Amino acid sequence: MTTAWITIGEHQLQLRLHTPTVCSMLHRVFPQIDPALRCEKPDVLVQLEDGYGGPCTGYELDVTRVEDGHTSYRRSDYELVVNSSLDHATIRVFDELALKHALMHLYSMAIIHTGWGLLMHASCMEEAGHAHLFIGHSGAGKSTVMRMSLPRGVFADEASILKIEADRITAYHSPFRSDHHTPMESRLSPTPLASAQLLVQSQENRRVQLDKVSAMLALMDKVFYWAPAPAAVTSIMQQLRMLVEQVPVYELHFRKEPTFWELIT
Amino acid sequence: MTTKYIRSEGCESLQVDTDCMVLNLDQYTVTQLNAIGADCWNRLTEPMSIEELAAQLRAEYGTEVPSIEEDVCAFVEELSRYGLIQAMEDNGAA
Repeated sequence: MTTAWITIGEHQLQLRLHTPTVCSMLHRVFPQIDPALRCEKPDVLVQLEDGYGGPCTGYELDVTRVEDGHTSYRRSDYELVVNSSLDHATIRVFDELALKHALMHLYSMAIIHTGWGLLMHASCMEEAGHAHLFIGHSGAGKSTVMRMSLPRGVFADEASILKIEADRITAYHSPFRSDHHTPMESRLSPTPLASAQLLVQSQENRRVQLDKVSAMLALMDKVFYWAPAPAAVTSIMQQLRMLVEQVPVYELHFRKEPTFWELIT
Repeated sequence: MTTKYIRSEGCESLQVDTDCMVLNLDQYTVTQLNAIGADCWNRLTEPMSIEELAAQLRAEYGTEVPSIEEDVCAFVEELSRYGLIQAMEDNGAA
């Protein structure tokens, strides 16, 4: 068994890797922390194994309470078992896609549980020292917008990490990528979020600001979360409220060309 | 016997500007209430009849709205349908 440390957001995860296969899967997707920068105690300790199940056949989860207050989340390609304080987990995966999704699932639960922030269905780019979020489900145009925004820096191309505090909202580099991978040396530092755009593909560029309640309702189903417990729902809504109170949320109607940035900057 | 109404358990609410968002944590629904609706919701932490709620609103806003009891009745019926408030008999039984 080997041990790896990775950073997601502000958090350090220690992973105990039970097979060489899962070790090489992890190293391909997640760069490791320099040993000199490791915390004394990780935020989450994860046992990671491969050889589980088969290819992904759908996103529905089977949720069961197991012994000692642990909860099991099962999909065809991964199983995630977590304790009640979400600082210990066991993950068994079929392949790299399952590994990515299982870690997204774990991380999203952990940051919502602690009230640290949210993992959003969004791409996120940097412009003049500020981060801008582009939100939507699959097919909305998140990756298209990201590609049209290059060479601007990219925090995320499908799953954006936001730290949410009473006086600031900060975008972090996200390791959960679809196509666009950022080399270590080009990773962006945490940056204040200046705007959020809900994507609508259109024949014209137009941006309409939403009132706060409409923004919250539109953002609710854009948070990555699976089978939320009532306490998690409350945390998500409280964090979305802090988000909309500090950051303007718009509907961005955009043509498939980079001119939409003229509406943002 | 007068029917009184009270907020259901398993609901949380968040104030957003002058509106209120009520979460039904059992059914995973969100209901948006405008300013007056939010005021009614805030008063329903204690059992209250439609007549009592209407009287409080009349006293608060100082207007003679002939349909205020009908409006409150419609509001209570709608929130009951959503499971956000529940009826209690006057003896306190739900």
